[in-house]
Amino acid sequence: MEECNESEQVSDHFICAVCLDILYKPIVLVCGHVTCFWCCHHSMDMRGQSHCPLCRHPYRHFPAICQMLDTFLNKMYPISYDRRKTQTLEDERQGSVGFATDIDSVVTGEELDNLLINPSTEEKKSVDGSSAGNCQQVTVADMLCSACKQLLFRPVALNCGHVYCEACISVPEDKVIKCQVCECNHPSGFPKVSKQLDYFLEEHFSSEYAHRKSSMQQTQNGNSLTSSSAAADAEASKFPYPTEENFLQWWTAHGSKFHPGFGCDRCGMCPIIGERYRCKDCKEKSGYDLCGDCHKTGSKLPGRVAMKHLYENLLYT
Amino acid sequence: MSGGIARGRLTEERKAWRKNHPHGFVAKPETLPDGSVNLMIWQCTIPGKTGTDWEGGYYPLTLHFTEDYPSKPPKCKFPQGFFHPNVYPSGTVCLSILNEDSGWRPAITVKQILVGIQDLLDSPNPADPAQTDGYHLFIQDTVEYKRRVRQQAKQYPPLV
Repeated sequence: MEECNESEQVSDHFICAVCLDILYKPIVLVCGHVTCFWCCHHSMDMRGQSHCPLCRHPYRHFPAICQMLDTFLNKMYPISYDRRKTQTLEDERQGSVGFATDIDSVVTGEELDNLLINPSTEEKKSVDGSSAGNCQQVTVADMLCSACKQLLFRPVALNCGHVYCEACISVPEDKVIKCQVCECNHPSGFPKVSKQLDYFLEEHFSSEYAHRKSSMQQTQNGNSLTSSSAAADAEASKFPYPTEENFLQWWTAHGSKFHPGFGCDRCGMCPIIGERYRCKDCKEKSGYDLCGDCHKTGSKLPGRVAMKHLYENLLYT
Repeated sequence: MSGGIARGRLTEERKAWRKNHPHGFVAKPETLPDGSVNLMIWQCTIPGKTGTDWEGGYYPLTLHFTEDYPSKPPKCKFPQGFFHPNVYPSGTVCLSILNEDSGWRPAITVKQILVGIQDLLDSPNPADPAQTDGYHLFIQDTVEYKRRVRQQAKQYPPLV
């Protein structure tokens, strides 16, 4: 392998616990643990309850790529990140699932054709983009909270991949947190602080971090944060997963609303529970599916995996 | 996806092991007769803990990885007929962290597996018996159980 001539020393905080390589296209689970997009995707149980690869915390929604961390890692470790990019694109081209995308970047059909047909376009682009090879200085500006626009302090990520300070998230009365950037619902209960990221911030931006810490302590007196997982608990009791013992019973009650093997391409719920809508004109084998709630919102946002399709022709199944 | 990430992860596991591993342990991928390396099967050695009846034994263990690794745990096998309450007659180790449905997490490393099995040797779990011989002696006849363990330790002397 070519890593012998890779001179970058990647911080332990950015090593994915699943592939033991540098995080690539990172996603942050509701328990605060970070893995690569595909590493998490591979570890998921498409037919039932998925668990965090690090702590076994159960989750239902596959989060979107954390754009901020993605950009940051690319800046911080351009050589390693480029290597992972080349590798992953190669795997994606050979695989049947598709290309990982984040919700902020819309991949056009033309771009996707390029990805599929011409393996080298992507790589060339990154070389021409001058970033490859020389490490750019990362600054506090790369690690800002989506709400207060200051250096992240005790960072938490929502299901859509946007990152906030723990204290900047407000839980509305209906208990469903909404992202201020993309207006997506965060369905999985109050997210836990990403320790990996937090330690790094404290190490790398020590003076700014200390400053944030002291100002936080001043303002936070009396403002007790109740990190309630009540929403997630309510969700779980409303629709429990089957256990081996009560499977038949469970199936008669819920079987028709359960879609094993199909995930919602918008909110990441996997498997889809409730109504399921499937795109009629998707040529890709994996297809494009939406859960009932996401279909209702009628959003035209791209899904987890880049695809060529019109967002209009959805068939209810 | 092509081959999944099993091989990439195992390459990294090997690198990490070479950099640093616990004293007395051995873990290396199998070498085929033609000299090539098979990353999917690892030959390992677990030393019995000092101060226990297992001391002095260097127990051979084989790890069988599948293409689904690390989503699924490797199968860990001692030689057939290995004496321990939580080892099946086939040699397969029964341990919660190696069970996909209970304790396995893709973040568990080869090092953690081997150290976990070393711990299991002297602290069997009577709630999860896997062989009659070892289990019955362990709960009924401690003296004979200890004798059998020490006898087995002599069967697996250090390799060097």
